[in-house]
Amino acid sequence: MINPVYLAVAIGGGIGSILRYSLSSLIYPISDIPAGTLTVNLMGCFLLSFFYQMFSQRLQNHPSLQKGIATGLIGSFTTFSAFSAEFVQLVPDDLFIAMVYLLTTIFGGLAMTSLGLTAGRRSK
Amino acid sequence: MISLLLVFTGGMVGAVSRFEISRHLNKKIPFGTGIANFTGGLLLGYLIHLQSQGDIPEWVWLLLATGFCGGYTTYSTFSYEAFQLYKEGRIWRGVAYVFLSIVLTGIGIVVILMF
Repeated sequence: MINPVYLAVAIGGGIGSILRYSLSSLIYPISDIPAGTLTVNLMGCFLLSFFYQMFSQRLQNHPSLQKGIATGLIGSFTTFSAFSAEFVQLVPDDLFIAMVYLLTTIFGGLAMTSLGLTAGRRSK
Repeated sequence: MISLLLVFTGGMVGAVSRFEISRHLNKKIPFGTGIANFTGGLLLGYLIHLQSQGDIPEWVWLLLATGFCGGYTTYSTFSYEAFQLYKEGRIWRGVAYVFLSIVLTGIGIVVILMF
C-alpha cells in the first residue's frame, strides 16, 4: 500500500514538471538572460508563499493535498539546477549579464515570496 | 506527447526523492532542500557535460535533465526558507544558506564541466 502523501507528491511533481517544461520553452531568452527559467522560478516563489499563507491552516487535516501542491506541484514547477547551470554558463560569456540573472533571481524570488505572503494574508 | 510523459516520469521521481530527503534532513537549517539542490545541480552539470561530448539522446535529456533534475531541485522552497530565516531574525543564517547553496552548486558544476 503506497502512502497517499507520496502518491500526491509524485503526481504533483509530474504535473509541475510538465508545466515548467511547457511554459519555459515558450519564453525565449531576453538579451541572453534565460527568461523561461526566471519566469517559472519567480511565479513559483509567489505561488508557494501564497499557498502556504492562504491554505496551510485549512489543509492541516489533508496532508496529501497540501504536500501534493506545495512540495510536488509548485516545488517541481520551479528549479534550482537549471538556474545554477545557466548562471555558471553565462559567466564566461558575459559576467554582467550573469550577475543580472543571479541577482534578479535571488532578490526577485525573495520579493515574490514576500508578495505571496501578503497577498495570501489579504485574501484569507 | 511522449516528451511530456518523459518529463512527467522524471519529475515524479525527482519530487518524491526531494520530499524524502527533506523529511529527514530539514531541521533548523534546511539541509534537505540544500542537499537536493546541490546534488541535482551536479547531476545536471554532468548531463550538460555528456551532451557537449557527443549527443545524448533527446529522450534521456527530457527524462533526466528536464524531468528528474528539474523536479528534484526547487527554487520556490529555497526562496521561502531563506525568507523565513530572515523573518525569524536569523539573517546571517539566511545569507549563508543562499550564498552556500549557489556558490557550492556553481563550483561543483564548473568542476564537472571542466573535466
